[in-house]
Amino acid sequence: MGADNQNVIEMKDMYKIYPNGTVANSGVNFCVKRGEIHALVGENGAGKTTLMKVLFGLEEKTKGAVYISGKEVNFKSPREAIASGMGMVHQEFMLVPSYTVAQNIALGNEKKKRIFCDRKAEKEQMEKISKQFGLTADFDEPVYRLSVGAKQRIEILKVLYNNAKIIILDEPTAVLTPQETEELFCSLRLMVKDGYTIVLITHKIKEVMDISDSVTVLRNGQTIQTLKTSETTPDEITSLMIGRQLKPKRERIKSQSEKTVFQVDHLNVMDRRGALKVKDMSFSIKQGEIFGIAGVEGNGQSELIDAIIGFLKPASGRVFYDGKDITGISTSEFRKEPIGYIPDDRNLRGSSLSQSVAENFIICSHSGKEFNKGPYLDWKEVRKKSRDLIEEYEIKTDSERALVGSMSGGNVQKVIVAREISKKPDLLIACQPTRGVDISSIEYIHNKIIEQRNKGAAVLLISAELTEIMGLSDKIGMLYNGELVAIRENDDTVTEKEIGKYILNGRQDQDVTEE
Amino acid sequence: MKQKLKNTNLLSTVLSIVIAVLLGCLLILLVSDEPFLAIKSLLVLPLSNAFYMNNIIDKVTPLILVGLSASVAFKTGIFNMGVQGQFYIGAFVAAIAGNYLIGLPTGLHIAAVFLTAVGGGVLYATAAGALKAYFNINEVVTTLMLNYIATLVTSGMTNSYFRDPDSGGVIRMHYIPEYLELKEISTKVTAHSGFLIALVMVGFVYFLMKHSVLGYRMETVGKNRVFAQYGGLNIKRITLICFAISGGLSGLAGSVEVLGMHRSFFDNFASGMGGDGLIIALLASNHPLGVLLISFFFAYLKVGGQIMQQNTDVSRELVLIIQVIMIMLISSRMLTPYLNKRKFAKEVKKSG
Repeated sequence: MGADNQNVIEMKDMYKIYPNGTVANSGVNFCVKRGEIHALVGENGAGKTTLMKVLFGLEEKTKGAVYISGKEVNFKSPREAIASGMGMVHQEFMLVPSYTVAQNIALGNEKKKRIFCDRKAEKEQMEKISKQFGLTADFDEPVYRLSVGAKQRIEILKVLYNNAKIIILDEPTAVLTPQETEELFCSLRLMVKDGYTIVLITHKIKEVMDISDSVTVLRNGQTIQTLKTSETTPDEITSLMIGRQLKPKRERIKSQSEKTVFQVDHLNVMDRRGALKVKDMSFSIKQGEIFGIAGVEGNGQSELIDAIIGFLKPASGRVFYDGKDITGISTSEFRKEPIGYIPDDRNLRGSSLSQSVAENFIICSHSGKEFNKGPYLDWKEVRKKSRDLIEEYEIKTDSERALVGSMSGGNVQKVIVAREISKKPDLLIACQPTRGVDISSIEYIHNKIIEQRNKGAAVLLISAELTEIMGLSDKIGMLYNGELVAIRENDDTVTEKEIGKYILNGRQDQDVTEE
Repeated sequence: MKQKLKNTNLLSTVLSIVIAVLLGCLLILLVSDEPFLAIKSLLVLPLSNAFYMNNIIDKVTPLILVGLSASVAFKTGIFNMGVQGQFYIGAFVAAIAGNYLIGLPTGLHIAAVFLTAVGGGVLYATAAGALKAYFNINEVVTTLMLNYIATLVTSGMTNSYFRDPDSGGVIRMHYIPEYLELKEISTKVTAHSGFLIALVMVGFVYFLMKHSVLGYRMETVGKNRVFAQYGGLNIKRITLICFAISGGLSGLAGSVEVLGMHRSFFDNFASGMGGDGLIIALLASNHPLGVLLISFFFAYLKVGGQIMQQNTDVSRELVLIIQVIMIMLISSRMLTPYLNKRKFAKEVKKSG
């Protein structure tokens, strides 16, 4: 009690073992000083999110002690945590889409005037906070119309509105553009200046260096080290996180082939509500070429993909693969082609969490001769092949019978990548292939994509992560509001800033302004 | 890990059953003047002689089939609430075919009765399936509505056109010719041979779900529709096939009841059958062997309830109470987290 009053959060010797036996934290020590930005880093599955969930009362700890401002606490629910001045912005936003911004912020903490809600007083307070920290928002707009960045600002406003003094942000920049990230960081700096304490969960080293005061590294559920950011280097943090040095990126061989594998020609796609989401899009990909589409999510990426794979019928335009017109093909037919497709929605489209690894592997191949004896599915053979894939792709799992849902995000993504690449594709479509995935898996998946390219596959890469687009692509298409506003060779002259301007504004010659 | 969790699941099912039975006994103690005779009649007497045991087998036969029917649908993520209606259609068609296809050679007639009855169930279920597959109409609503239609139409027909004039106060059709009846299994096991059909169907569903390509597809659709669709499975076709198999099993159950037990179609003769099927599938976690076991337990309780009602002042509705408690305990999975926690606490201790 009160041993060190400077520590606003102190977690001692924390253990968290989930009922299914997963050990998420085993002996974590974590201290945060008042008024600092403290980065909590580690690979996926290192236990960052779990630790914060325990702190926030979302999960019950197995063992250990938590002190807030020197007082021992044991939150049983987030409500208790909020009452003691904590707030958390989750990776997935928890907003009601049909409510307005103001309603969302006030939800659960409405000001009352007799039996009515005092919307005016609520709004006054919101505006005050909004101005103070530069968190702009249109309070009367329904949330479903907002961009991802704006939604995140709403989440932060909500936390501040609830009088939180300690704010936990779980991977806040995963969905933001560089400009939006910079704005977020400005707001965070203002908050810290005002006495707020911020815990930032991330696995992006660059951000740690940019903004944090201290950094705690977790690995395999244990605290590896807590460092002052000013006294460390990115390389040191990386090697602490993964426990080894990164391998160099695979060599890229310049493609010689001129054969066009995939072509999209004046494609227009409407979403299910009838809004035009892809506008007059044309591009083509040659053998051994990676075509990257950069863009903020929600600018037509998913409609483009759905039209290609047969989930949506395009309004007009053509799609060609290997010289064949595949416009409007059914998904079943599409999946029979040697085309690998890594969807952006890992947990819904990409895998079936409540089925085993083996069952996930054979979704496209189970009707092939290899596993099929009349109506009889040869599970023995399936399992054997699955074990081979698990070994080849370094997937961490007990066995091929383990449920995919019990595995970490990076490993689930590896299962998907393994399945799609084992089709030996001559076209690989990869959507956000490394979103929310740990560093080792990113490294691995990137190398696999480059390997496919070097083998002569055409690759369509769609990503909101500019470093990924710039690191892998041969050509970059910049997507803004359903249009490819520019296509550029990826040479040394391309900068992240330039791309950022295109995908935020649709053009180059203008400063970034808020929408 | 999966294996371990399955075991605690099984354990929690067994525990739920035990708790439900104990609570049932407690209720008997509270309401009855002769509680010990009542408990004995309910739990011990059904296994005390061959007559009662055969009675159990007779009762278990349709339960297995409707339980399988529901479990196949549930496994595919389809809530076929229409087991009852499909059962009645199967039974009704079997009775009609049995009575009015007279003149066919015996073997052909038997085959025709089964085929038409199963076909009736298939078509009746597939109607709801088509609405779901092509127009995305919720199958819960359509199948429940179709239940009313099946119950009322068969009842109306049996009351009017097809009623046996010699049936006295009972509303039923003519009795089917004797050669169509499902005979006793043997001189000792006097239950009708529909039981054997049910056992064959347990094997069939087991093979279907565990070892066939179709079973893999059905399960994948049930576990994650979007994944299945993205993986290139033809969801419409799988939905239709699933409805067909489920409806066929219900139809078969109906025909087996008519041919083995009642020898005619009685007006509204098995009103709880569909509900029992759904509950059995639920309690069995849709596993065919689980369906077999739970069906036996249900049949045992039904027979026990009858004996208890004959012997004592406790009515057989008590069995319903026990069933309901079981359903609450199991479907809310109230015991599973508790058991898991204990198990892992032990393991953590062991591993230090």
